[in-house]
Amino acid sequence: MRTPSLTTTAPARFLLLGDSHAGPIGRAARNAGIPFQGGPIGAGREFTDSFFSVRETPGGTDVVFRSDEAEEHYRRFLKELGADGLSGLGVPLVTTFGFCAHFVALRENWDLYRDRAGAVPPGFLDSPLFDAIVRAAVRDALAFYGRAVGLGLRVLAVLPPQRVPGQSDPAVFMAAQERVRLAVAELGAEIVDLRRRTAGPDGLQRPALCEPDDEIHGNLAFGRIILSELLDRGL
Amino acid sequence: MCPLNPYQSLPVRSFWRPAVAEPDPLDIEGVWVPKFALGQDDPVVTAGSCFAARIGRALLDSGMNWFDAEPAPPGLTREERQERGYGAFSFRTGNIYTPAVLRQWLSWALGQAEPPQEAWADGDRWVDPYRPAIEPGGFASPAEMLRSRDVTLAAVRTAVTEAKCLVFTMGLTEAWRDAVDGTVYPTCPGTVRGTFDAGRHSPHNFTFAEAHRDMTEAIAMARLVNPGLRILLTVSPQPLTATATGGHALPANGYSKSVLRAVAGQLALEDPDVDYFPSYELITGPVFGGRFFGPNQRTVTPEGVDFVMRHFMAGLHGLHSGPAQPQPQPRRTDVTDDVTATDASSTDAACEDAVLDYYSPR
Repeated sequence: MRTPSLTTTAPARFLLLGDSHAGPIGRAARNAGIPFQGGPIGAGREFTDSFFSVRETPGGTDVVFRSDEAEEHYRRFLKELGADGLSGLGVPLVTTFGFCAHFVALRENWDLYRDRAGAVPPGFLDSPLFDAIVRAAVRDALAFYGRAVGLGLRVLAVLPPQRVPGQSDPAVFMAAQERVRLAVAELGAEIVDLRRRTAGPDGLQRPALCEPDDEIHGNLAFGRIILSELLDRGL
Repeated sequence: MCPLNPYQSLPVRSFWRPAVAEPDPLDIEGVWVPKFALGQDDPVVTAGSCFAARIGRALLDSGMNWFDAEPAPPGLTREERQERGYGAFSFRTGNIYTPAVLRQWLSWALGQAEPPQEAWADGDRWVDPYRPAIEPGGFASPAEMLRSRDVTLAAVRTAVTEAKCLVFTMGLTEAWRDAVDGTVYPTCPGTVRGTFDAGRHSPHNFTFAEAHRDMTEAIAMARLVNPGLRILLTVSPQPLTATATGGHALPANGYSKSVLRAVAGQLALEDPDVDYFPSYELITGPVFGGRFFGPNQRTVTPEGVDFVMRHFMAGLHGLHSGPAQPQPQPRRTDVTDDVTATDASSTDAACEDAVLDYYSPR
């Protein structure tokens, strides 16, 4: 086998669509000279509910993003890939949709369920009710995964950096992330879960992999680790 | 008050008893003070022996920028990538055990010499004599083998040109030479692949002077295309599998490692941009009692690699290199029971900023 040369004209290895957590992945790929298309097309809270619709085109099934900005990015990526729509995508889809666990875990969302000590009880976090609430909170993201997998695409869903901002409840973050992970896996997407490689003994993102200017994002080094895993999986 | 002798003003780390003998071996610290800084995003290129193959991923996981200049083509499984020699080093040369072979690769990649065109027949397939292990199924033709090698040579060129630092792990002094073209093989012909020809293939055990010369020339060649390139030398703690000297493997290994360690030390003394990192001592030091070797007393365990990398990262950051401790959370906004909508919107803003930043011109 001859290794293809890695130039900008080389065929893209994957399409990256996601929230801001897609940024480090894209930057790492760009820096490494890995040909791909895509990047973040909006903030995490935009990709939980009602963010896309389905459209049938002569080229097959496609999605339309409700946000003008997201749609504009998406169309540009497809054009670069020579695809008319999602169903015509000839490369794997890498996405971070639905994994904005810090948004789902915003403290005020869970005040109703706190005990007298102010904590959300572990029993509740293990309950079917919690599972149902989380799935409802990210229902359109789950619908997107279902749609993409249903079109026969290889879909890889990347877990977020293990960073819990002050506005979010750490226990809810971890539990919600797990619920989303299970739901996405049930839909047939491959999960890219690198917590063993990226989190410290406390389960949180190691500082060396954190964007220093905020409380949410992974840095370029985090993106490099994700990218290495994507390549290991044959992308 | 003046010290009575120079030893009285030395730090604790300079004395065997408190620095090595007394602490728990896993708590030994300060073994490496880097000569030069290495930033988190500075491209680091790795090459060398089997042990070096473990460093790339460890660097990545540590948050450093390990540069893979020859990534696998899409569609290979994880196992196929490993079998074909992808992802082990920054380019698909396979193991480079000796300074001579490193010098040889650089001379080919940087246009200082022409690589031989010979391919070894293996049934109806063809093998690269200088990368005998990288394609288990061989190549369809000599031309395909040469095209594949050209990709690797381009990757070596790219890696050396773009790297901030080359980490090279020296493994052996023993090698096999070709009497016809004067090249050095990475392994003895007829072992991994190929056919041994006693009239053509001869063993050579490099001396200190030869290894030092080869390493010096390799560094000089690399700096022709990258004058600022820094070199971090290590010596593989993994013993040789066999010696061709006819002697016992134990002293033969002692000779090899001693020579390589001396070469690394000498080069580090001569050049401010060459440093030595003591992975060899961190695995083989008597205080460790062989704890980092597998049952075959050769292979370094994953724990050993982790231990070495912990010291590496601690050295880079000037930190204690003991077992990883839970890290404090990065600075965060104060949390109260009644978090306001403004707080939530600040995280939204961070996300939006991150999206915008991604598309900013660079």
